[in-house]
Amino acid sequence: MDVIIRNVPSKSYREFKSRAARVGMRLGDALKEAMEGWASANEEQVGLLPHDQNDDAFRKMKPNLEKKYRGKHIAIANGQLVGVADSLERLASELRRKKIRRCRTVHLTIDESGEGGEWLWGSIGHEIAQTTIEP
Amino acid sequence: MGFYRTRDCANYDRTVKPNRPTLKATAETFITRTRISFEAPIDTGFSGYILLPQDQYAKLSESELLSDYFLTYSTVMGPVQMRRSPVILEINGNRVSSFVETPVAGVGRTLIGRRILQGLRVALLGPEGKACFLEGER
Repeated sequence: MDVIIRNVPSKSYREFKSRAARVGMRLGDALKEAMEGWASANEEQVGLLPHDQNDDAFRKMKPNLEKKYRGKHIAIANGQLVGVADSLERLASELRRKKIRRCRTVHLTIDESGEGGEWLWGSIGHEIAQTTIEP
Repeated sequence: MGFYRTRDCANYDRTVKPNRPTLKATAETFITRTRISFEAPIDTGFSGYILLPQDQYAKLSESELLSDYFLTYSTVMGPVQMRRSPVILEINGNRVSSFVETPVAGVGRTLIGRRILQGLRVALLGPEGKACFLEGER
């Protein structure tokens, strides 16, 4: 397919075109390779935003959800409540049935939010010590 | 205390000095049953579950907890918030419902923390360079 991209900074465009020419590539081929490389490099990070619309939706729904579904496992996707079940296994099978492959979940009984304890960075200290001692 | 018998011993990781004890584990997601096997160093200084590098965590994050339920750990570098996803963890033939974690900021590393260790009977045999599961006494 053909695409038109507007508002590309002229400096970036010139530099990209010149680098493509230096390795004997046509602009279109270089752009295609760059797009595929970027998509591949970011594939694993999809969905790894620390905060998304599901968090916002949950905060709005939280008082009602806690009242209505206390003790249940719930799933939220695309800002909507998409599943409620007694166990994670049952929730997962409900999500599979609905063909939902990615969502955010919570168990509305266990309040494990907040402090997790400590992480003494023992392993990092160990490796620093190793590089100091070893010749 | 009584007597325990060692079984299913794993060799210490000898690529680092001093060698470090590790355990083999497999984590499986609830929805798509995606499985990742890893050998994780035992870290008694980490009070959490299974810590993973961000790229491995991403493969297991399909039902990640809402961010209100992420845990924050105190470290010598200051507080570190961890994202958290439920998984079925398989260690030493036992399957338990647990969590994998990775730092919200930073790449992370592979570790087994105390929330997992407290459910295991493990002996660290330093001179032999083996981490062994124990059976016998209840």
